[in-house]
Amino acid sequence: MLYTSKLSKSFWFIFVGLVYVFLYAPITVLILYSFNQGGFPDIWRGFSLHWYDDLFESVAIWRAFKHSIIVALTSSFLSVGMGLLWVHGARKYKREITAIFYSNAMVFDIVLAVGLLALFSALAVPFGLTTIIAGHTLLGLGFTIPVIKSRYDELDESLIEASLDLGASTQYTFLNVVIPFLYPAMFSAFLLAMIVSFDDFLIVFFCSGASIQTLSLYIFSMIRSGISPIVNALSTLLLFGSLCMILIMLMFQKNILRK
Amino acid sequence: MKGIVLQGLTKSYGSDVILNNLNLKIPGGKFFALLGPSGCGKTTILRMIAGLENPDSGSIFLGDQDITHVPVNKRSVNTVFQSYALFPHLNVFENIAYSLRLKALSEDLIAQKVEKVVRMFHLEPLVYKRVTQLSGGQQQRVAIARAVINEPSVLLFDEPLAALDLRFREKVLLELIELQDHLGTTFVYITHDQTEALTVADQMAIMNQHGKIDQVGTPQEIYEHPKSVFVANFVGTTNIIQGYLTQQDNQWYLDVDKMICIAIKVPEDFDTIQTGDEACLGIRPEKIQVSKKILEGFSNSLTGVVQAIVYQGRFTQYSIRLQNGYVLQVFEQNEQHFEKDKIDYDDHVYVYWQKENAMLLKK
Amino acid sequence: MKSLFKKEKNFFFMIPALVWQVLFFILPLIFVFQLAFFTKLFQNFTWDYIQQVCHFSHFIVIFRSLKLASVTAVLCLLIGYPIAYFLALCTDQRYKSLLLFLITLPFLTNILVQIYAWYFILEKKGVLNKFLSLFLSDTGNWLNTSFAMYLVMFHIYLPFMIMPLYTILEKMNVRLIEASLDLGASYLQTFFRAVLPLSLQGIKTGFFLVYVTTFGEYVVPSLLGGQKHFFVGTLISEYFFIGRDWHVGAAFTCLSIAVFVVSIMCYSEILQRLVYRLQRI
Repeated sequence: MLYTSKLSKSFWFIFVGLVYVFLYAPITVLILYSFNQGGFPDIWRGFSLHWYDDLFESVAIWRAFKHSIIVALTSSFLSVGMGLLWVHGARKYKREITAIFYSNAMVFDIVLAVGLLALFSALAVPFGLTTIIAGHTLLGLGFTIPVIKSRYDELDESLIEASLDLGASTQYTFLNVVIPFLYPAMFSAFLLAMIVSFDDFLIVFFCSGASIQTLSLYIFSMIRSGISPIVNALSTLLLFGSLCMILIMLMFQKNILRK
Repeated sequence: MKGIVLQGLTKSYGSDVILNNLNLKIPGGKFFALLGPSGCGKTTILRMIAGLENPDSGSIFLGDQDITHVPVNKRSVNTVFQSYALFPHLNVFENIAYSLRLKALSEDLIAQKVEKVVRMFHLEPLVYKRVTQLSGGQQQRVAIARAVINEPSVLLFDEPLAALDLRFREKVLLELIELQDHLGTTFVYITHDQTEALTVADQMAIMNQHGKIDQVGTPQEIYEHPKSVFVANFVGTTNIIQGYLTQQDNQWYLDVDKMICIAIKVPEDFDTIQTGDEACLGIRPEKIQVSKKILEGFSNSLTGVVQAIVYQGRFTQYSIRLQNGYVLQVFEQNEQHFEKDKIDYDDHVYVYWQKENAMLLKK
Repeated sequence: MKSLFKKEKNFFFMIPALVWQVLFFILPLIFVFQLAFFTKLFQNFTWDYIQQVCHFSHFIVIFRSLKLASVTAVLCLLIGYPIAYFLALCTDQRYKSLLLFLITLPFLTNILVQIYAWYFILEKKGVLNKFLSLFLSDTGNWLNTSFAMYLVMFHIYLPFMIMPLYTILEKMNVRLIEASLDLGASYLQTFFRAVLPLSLQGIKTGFFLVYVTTFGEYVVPSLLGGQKHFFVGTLISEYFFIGRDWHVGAAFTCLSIAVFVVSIMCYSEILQRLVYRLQRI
């Protein structure tokens, strides 16, 4: 049943439609213009992939991409690994104890970013990939722990007990009973952490130092310096990449649930 | 008091046809029960009367008024939901006063009306409590109070006993009967439990699983004179015997497997019958007498062997196997007014019943 | 019964994440906090830095951010609630997941990409002006205006508001709406008296989420707000990143957080009272 009066049904559709259009209009324009023959601000000149060619030839972008990937993969592995260990270890404790990680994703990104900046400076830690990875892993923990935990809560405690009862050690049980059960959540958490890492700007901005360039920083500098459809092409690919990862995540979850 | 008339109601969900051209008259001012198995469509009917769903075609009349297209909040019909649907953010007083507040009545008037209803349902000590703190039975009373305060023409009950503890059920049923007597409002009560329906109803209707109304009548009519096999089986227990009709000297008989011949009484409103027609006969287990001796005065008597005995306190249930292999269920009340021969396993016994107590049924 | 996994063993599992959290979350925050009150590491307590920031100009910056955060949060609430309501209660099962997915997708998009996309539209020679030039002769510069900033903030944070509202509305007992209608309320009355009060928790969560993140926002004001005015995020960045005046920066951060916390408590109370009042409709 539609919980709204019959009269307003058409208004609802128009309203919701407008909001969705609003949400997706800028991105759509962005993607469209990445295929524009002419540069900005020319009107549509015809379909062309030459911006993508320029993109693939740009050394700076490849370097930024390389750094972004390294950071993303490393921080994701770390946060999934540590998150997994935490969830398993914390299962006998009260629920609230895991809540300390929930604030990672939310509270005042800027304070965290400058905090890391200040701490690293004070301890004379050299800025670079390691400092970024440290920060992104922290962000990742805020996402991977809830995801893994909710899957873990579905685990029947009696499976662990049965394994121990049959003579397995705690390590063996962990590796062969708990982890296989958690695979889908670990996979989802990994992809999520990857996306979070790619999307982050603040931590990279404050903790990267002068030498390291990542995709976020690259786009930032391009926005500052001027518009070029190369960035459109880059953005389109980034969006496409995120979308693929999300779809893989969803399909994976559906398949596992079917089993 | 207004009654309800449902005319030609049809409703489908996608390719599922729930109701097809359903007709029903619900008399005004009475306690009406709609009985049927789960999923037969009775909830759909209730919701359509309330206005929460609309039929694909057909009409609904409240008294003389066609309310088919009247929106739910404008109908003089109120529902007591199966889960009670009390507003958790309001206390008991505010829940009951909900509909009064909509009309922007004065505080005094609202307090007055609520107090009256609170007293009616013995809710005084609970008035300012949060509804989430109440027990199931208390919540139900609040739900009914909330509906009743509107003085609707019709009050709908959606399986009210489903969420209650077994021990409260009888008490609640009696209270509902009293309430209906007191208010005089038309009650429409849907349930899948035949005991509930038989207990409360002045009039009842049986729906089968195909969304059709099989029979309408008083509980007694339905129990004693079911018209179809479905009704006979759904309300109470029945022995169903199939055979062919034969006639001799103005008396109809049921010929069963060419071995047994049963004298039957054909009801007046039964369809025209001919010799050789297939027919079903239903006999309630309590209408059959079993004895080791020969008894006089019964229009039907058969012989059989005792196959099973189940002692159930108030009565004993016997399973008697007849000569054609059919097993008859018999209930004997354990009154023990007079000395009786004790009936045991594998005893050869006689079973007797009067032809008036057997029911000729449609398939 | 002997515990199957000894608690000590469990603790080992928890160490890595805990260490990381302390090292890179708690420690930085403590470090920043102490910068505001001590000249050297936890030595020499002083109110100097706090006094320095309790200056009119700093409060202007804070209130400017409060205004930005408030307007964004309120806008997101006004537009986001109907969307969440529609998604939760008015859509068919088959379309729900798709529509929901479309709402969550912007979440996972790089914020810079989103800003860049708006740049494309709002720039002087951008799409919006091209479109308007068909009707008007004089087209304006949309970037570096408050309008651009509010617009983009609203665009980015709308999904943040919709999600918690949707979650709470989805779980709502639909029978309550039916009961309210059955008792004679109109759809509007049902909304204000039954639905709104029960979704208050979701409203608070969504509002808080948007309010918190927009208050300390750095990227959007920095790129779209024009370089004229400072916001909390950009000023903090200025102190730490560019000016290297950490102590004053830390003091300013603490002051901002203090004002923010007070404002949030006020908003919580206001929202609660408002919802209560609206039940009279």
